[in-house]
Amino acid sequence: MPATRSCLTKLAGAALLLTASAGPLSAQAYPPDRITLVVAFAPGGFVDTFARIVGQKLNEKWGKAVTVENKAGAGGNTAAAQVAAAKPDGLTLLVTSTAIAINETLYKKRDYALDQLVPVAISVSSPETIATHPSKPGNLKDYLAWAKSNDINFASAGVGSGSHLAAEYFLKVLAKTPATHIPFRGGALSVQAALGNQVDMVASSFGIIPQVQEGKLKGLAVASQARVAAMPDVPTYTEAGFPFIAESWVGVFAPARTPSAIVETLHAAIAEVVADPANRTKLLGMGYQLHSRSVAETSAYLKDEVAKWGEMVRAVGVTVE
Amino acid sequence: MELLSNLGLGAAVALSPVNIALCFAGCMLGTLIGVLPGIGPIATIAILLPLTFGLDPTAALIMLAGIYYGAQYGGSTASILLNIPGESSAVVTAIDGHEMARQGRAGVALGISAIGSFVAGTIATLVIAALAAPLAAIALIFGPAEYFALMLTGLAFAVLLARGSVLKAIIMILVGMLLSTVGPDLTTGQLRLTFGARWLADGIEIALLGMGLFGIAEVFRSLEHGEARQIKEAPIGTLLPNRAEMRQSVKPILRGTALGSVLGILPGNGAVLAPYASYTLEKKLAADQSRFGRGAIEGVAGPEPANNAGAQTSFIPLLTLGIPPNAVMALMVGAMTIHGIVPGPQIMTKMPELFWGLIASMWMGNLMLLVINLPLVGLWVKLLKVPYRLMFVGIVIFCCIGVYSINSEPADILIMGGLAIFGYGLTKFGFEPAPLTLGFVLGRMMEENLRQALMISRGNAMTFIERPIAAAFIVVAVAMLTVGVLPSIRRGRDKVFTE
Amino acid sequence: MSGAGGVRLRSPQNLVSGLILIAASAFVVWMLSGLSQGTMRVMGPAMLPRWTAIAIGVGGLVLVILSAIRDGDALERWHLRGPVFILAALVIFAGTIRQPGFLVAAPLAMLVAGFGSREVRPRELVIFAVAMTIACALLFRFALNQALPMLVVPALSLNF
Repeated sequence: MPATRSCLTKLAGAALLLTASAGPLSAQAYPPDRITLVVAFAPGGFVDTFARIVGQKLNEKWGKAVTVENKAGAGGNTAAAQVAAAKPDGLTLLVTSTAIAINETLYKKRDYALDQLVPVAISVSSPETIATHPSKPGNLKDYLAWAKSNDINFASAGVGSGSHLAAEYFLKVLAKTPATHIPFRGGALSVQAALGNQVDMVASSFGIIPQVQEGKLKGLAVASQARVAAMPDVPTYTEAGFPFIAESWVGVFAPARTPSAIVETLHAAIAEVVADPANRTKLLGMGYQLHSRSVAETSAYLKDEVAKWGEMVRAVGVTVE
Repeated sequence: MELLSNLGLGAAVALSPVNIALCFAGCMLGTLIGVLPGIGPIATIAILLPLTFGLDPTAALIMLAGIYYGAQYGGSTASILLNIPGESSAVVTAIDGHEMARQGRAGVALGISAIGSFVAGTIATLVIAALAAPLAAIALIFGPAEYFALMLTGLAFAVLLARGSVLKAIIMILVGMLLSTVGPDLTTGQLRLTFGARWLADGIEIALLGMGLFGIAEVFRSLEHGEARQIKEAPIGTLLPNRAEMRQSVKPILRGTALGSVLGILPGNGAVLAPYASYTLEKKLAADQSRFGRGAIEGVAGPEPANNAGAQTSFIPLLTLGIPPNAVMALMVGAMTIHGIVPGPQIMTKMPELFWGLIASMWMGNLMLLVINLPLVGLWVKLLKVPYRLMFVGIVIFCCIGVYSINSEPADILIMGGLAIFGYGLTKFGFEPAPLTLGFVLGRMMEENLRQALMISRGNAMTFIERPIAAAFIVVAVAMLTVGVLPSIRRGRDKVFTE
Repeated sequence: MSGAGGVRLRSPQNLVSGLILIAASAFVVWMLSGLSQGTMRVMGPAMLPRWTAIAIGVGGLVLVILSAIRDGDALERWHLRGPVFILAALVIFAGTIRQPGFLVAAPLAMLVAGFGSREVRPRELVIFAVAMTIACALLFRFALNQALPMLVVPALSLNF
């Protein structure tokens, strides 16, 4: 029970701290002080969860307090602007999602420029997926044939979400089968609507996997290079004849002028978190794909992503104030 | 029999000494942090989440469930003692609970709330254990059209919630709905009523509304009267509810539990209606309706169990469908993810120990709450002896910290100030803020569901009548409105004519 | 209502609140004028808020009418001391929490808020403010690890 014991100690510590003062902090080169992870979304989503996992590991590794600060707003732009303006000392980091790449095109105005930030690591992703109720026609081809004559609708986590853009881009541009988009407040509610057969199709990323595994929903296609291990029966778009890749990811960013040594240190630390066997199993089990890219590769990847999502945003034709 | 063996399995998991200790610690910390004004259940869980990182998944979930119940109960404590509801369910408790506290019956209110919550928790646990799987299937029948109709019924409830004028209550509901539309429009992403201000661009947080309209506005009202408005000291011997009060509360507790259990099952956050529905029901059933809003024990004994039962049964959509019905449950999903558990249909079959252990620990968590809180009641009541000239300063600063901790946004504190002035003004003009809160909470969900329903039906409004469940709710809503509005119109007319 | 002097004002409270509601409703409708109302199938962003605002205006109108025919309450007095000091405290807290931070914002805000009560005792208030500041700092920053800037003075390169 070592894990349990350490937690109990922590508990006792927390209880003590409630009445006493802070413990002493040991000095180190980096980080010299408390790290703040600014999360671009409210508590509860995967971005937040990922930040908390990372925060916990950094705290264990360096013995410095790590604070997770949820700063939801303007689709993630509020948090990005805050970190973009922060001191480039590696103590204020941004944890955000694909939204930061999408927002470059989606939002008419932002309070920061993307080059004020440097990507530290983009190491987990989950492909955009479309699924339907099991009572609907079978594979993607049959489904599209049925959809063409049925004026279908599809649900997603919201206007301008990665799931919305990927699905609508596929339907409108690639498959030439326009559908009515029905936005829901968050991915969970959109999946629910599909489970209850209220909507014709749902677009989502990892959130859909348990439902597909149980056969409550039927996966039509995943927008990844290869099939996802957690749902091996769902073909990729490419297999179905529509070469198309769109993935949702979680990324950690630092202010642009952060010394590259610090960026590398952070990059290595986050890579360790993802490589940790226990985390690895969990993440893969949830249907995530793990990537080991260097800092330079991450920058290049981000650039490609901005271009790719930008094209989708323009093709779909949405903007947000 | 299968139920018994399942519960036995659960009990075996939950009753290990370590898990009992964790559940206790979770409840305790949850209560202590949840009671801080301005720190709601979401913040409490997020704050305490790291404590569970090192645990094995079952133990972690048991502790989290403890934290959740503790936080819920702590929030009720704060709203009874100081009238600072940090979330919409506590708004209802505060109506009569705080009034009781002002009459020196804080202990009774806290006691009945703890006892009622325990009863509700026990019954709801059994409901979950016995019916989780079939109930989840029913919940899926609810689409946007049904939710819209349900919300409409909820708003009709709100009309009856009011102490005074029905017309003013309706206006307040509408104002609440209007406030809920501030911010980005879900369907198009366009900004509405934000005056171009960045700090309104994401709408208004319910916690701000609670702390502004109730917490700070209450401070304004109290300061008018100086120490005279101070809370009366409880006479000795009335710290906990006496036998007569218990008898009075039995039926409200059971009815509240039933309402909460049913509404909590709905994945679209039906639980938020439960306390309001229960309050209205108790008021309608009471022989003397005028007692409500003036410290009626049923005003606490109904809504608190309703809230707790709803909180519990909202685990059903989470555990069986993988759909978190509200923000707190979404956070629970996050917590589960950290431990490598993907909530969804397979949990019950693939991880029976975890599933049944969690269910058994729900009951244990409720027991812990009772064990922790009955002795604490005395402490909380003593807290009220702090002179008001200092107490309100503490309330103000806790509200500031609470608001700032939500989103690290100083402008939110100013919004809270604006809402406080608004709330103070409301009472000056004879309006009540409670219906406004319900309008605010339901307004947003109602609009979204309405628009989704119409998009799905391709613009055909008949969808609300063709779908039987939706139609039934709409009939109920109309009936409620008639029941609520007619007497007051008649009364009003009589008054006019007798003059 | 038989008096020759026209309509008698019976409820000033209802009259004033009704008028405020009508004005607010008109303002909201005007604010929404740039947004589309949409159609039944695809409702626009303005549909619900606009009709809600109009309904509020109608409610206000009814209140105004009622104020002439039904007896009601007189206008209540506003006591401004409490609200003024507390709002000032909130503004101070909001303005100073980021910089120079909580250790300055909290005591200042509490000292100002305290004067909202007529029974204020300055010495007691100072002790309370200092004690509360320390307690909250320990609780939120250290025990609960919340993002609450404590002391941020760029000139002294303090960022705690």
